[in-house]
Amino acid sequence: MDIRIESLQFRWAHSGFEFSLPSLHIESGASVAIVGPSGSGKTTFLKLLAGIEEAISGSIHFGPVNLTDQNGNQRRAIRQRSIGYVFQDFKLIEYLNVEENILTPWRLSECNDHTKSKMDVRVSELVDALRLTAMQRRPIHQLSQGERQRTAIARALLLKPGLVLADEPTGNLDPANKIIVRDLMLAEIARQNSTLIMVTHDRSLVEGFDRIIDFADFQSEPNQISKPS
Amino acid sequence: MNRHVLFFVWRYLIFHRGKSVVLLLSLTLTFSLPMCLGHLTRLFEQSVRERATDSPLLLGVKGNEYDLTLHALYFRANIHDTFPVKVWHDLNAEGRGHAAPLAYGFTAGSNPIVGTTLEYFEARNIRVQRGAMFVRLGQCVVGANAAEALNLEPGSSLMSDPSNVFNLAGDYPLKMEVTGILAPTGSPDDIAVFVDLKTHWIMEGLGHGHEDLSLLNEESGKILDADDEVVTAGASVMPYLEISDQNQNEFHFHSAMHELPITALLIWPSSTKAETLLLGKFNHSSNRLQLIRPLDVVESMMAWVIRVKSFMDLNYLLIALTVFGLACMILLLSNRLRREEFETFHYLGCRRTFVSRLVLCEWSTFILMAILFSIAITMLADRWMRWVLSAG
Repeated sequence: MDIRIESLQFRWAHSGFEFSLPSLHIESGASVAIVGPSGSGKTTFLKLLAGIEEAISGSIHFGPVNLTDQNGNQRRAIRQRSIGYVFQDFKLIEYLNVEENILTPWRLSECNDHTKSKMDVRVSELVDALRLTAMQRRPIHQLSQGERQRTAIARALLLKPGLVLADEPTGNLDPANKIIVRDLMLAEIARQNSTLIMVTHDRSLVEGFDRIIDFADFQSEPNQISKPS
Repeated sequence: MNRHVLFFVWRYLIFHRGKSVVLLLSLTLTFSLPMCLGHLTRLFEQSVRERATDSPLLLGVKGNEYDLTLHALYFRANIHDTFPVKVWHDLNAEGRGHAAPLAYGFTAGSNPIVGTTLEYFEARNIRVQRGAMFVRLGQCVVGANAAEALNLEPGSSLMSDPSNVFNLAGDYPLKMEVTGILAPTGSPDDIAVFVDLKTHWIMEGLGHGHEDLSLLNEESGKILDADDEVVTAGASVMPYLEISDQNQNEFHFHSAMHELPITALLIWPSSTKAETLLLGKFNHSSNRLQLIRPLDVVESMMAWVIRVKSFMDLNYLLIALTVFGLACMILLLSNRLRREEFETFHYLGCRRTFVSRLVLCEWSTFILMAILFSIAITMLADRWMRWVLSAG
């Protein structure tokens, strides 16, 4: 999914936090790592891309579609259809097992293109690729942190979204698991030719990404990224 | 509601099964208490009314009309004031309807022994299911529930309960022969043991049987005095405790038969005019008897029951309001606890209405299940009440 951002501005009403981004272009199929210190607007940027938050001005184009022109329900539909989201705190549903959690986007989807049998095949592919086969029916509370994050990644990739947003997906993992999860994610994203934007504050994880954008360096590259004042 | 909403609801309820069960129980209790009470009250009222409607007039000695009704219709209260059986004979001679005398004061295995005549069975449309109706002294027919409780069959014998074990000169228990088991009627007749009036009088000690004194001589020690007219026997002459074909002719009464006592007389008047005439005949201040309409008595009793029920209903309404308030609080707290879960659904692209449908479906499931359980409980209570009513 080709992403083009122009003069994007956002403000948190309650805190006065402002975020602005003059212009940014991310090619389809690219993997982008966004680094920067806490409070630099990395998560806000992902939420704007996901249509969870609404910009006060500027534009975000997903191919020909301008996300900022869409109303909340249309943005939600785009998110459901085209975006996979991996959260730092996994956000898995505690009363579902691994397989059921992975299938959640399908269950929430309003599109009937995917049959259960197709989804079962897709789940098998993902649990194989993300090494979750042995714990497919296991409840979430019996999983390690790494296994939980791999489950969350599988859930984000289930419907083969054009864009995968990952908000510090390795933040809760030990160093060995961080590398494993990053590599698995990059491999899967490459396999399904999706665009990946991953936020991290750990610079050791940016290796292997096509592009690295540092929100701390916005002042040196004012044409590309700006940081809130 | 699509199947996916139901899937999430099902998984959530199963995962939180302890919480779900507690919530379900409290809702079930809230629904089932007024449902059961309402249904049982209706059932009780219906059963009591039916019995009273089937017994248009009831004659007894003046006194508490509730006691008289409970005594004659439900074999509940003992009445010690009696009136002579000739009242029944006179009434039959008048031809203003048909009547059945009742005399009840003894029990067998805690089941009431009711002395009556065949008219009672005809009027109440009670038929013998197994065996035959009693034909002589000392025989009895048993209601369906009493037969089951006492494990009786035609041909079995049944002993009346001693009324006072310390009074050696008092009534002796009588061993009765069961000749028939009555078909179930769903009324207090099912728990009764029916005997002929004369058998009842023998139990009362008004009639008895013993060895032929004319065949005894003074050397036997049982004769205190004898002349050509009168023989006086001592206490060593024991009364028969069982009436058989061999000794039934030895049984006799020492008073005039028409003066022997009954406790109540059920009357089925032949017409409204006959009913009015009968009421006029008996209900005047100089008469020691009273003729009552059991339906009027039952309705005045039911008015009290309904009044108590209305207080209970108010109580249940308050409980229901409390439970509703608690349920709302549980819902709010539960939604607060599940905020992150709902937010995740939103982040994954579901409509906001999905969460509303999810919560609505969960509560609908609880309420529906609670109603189903309440209906099941009410049905069980219905069976229990029917058993209680037929067991008297």
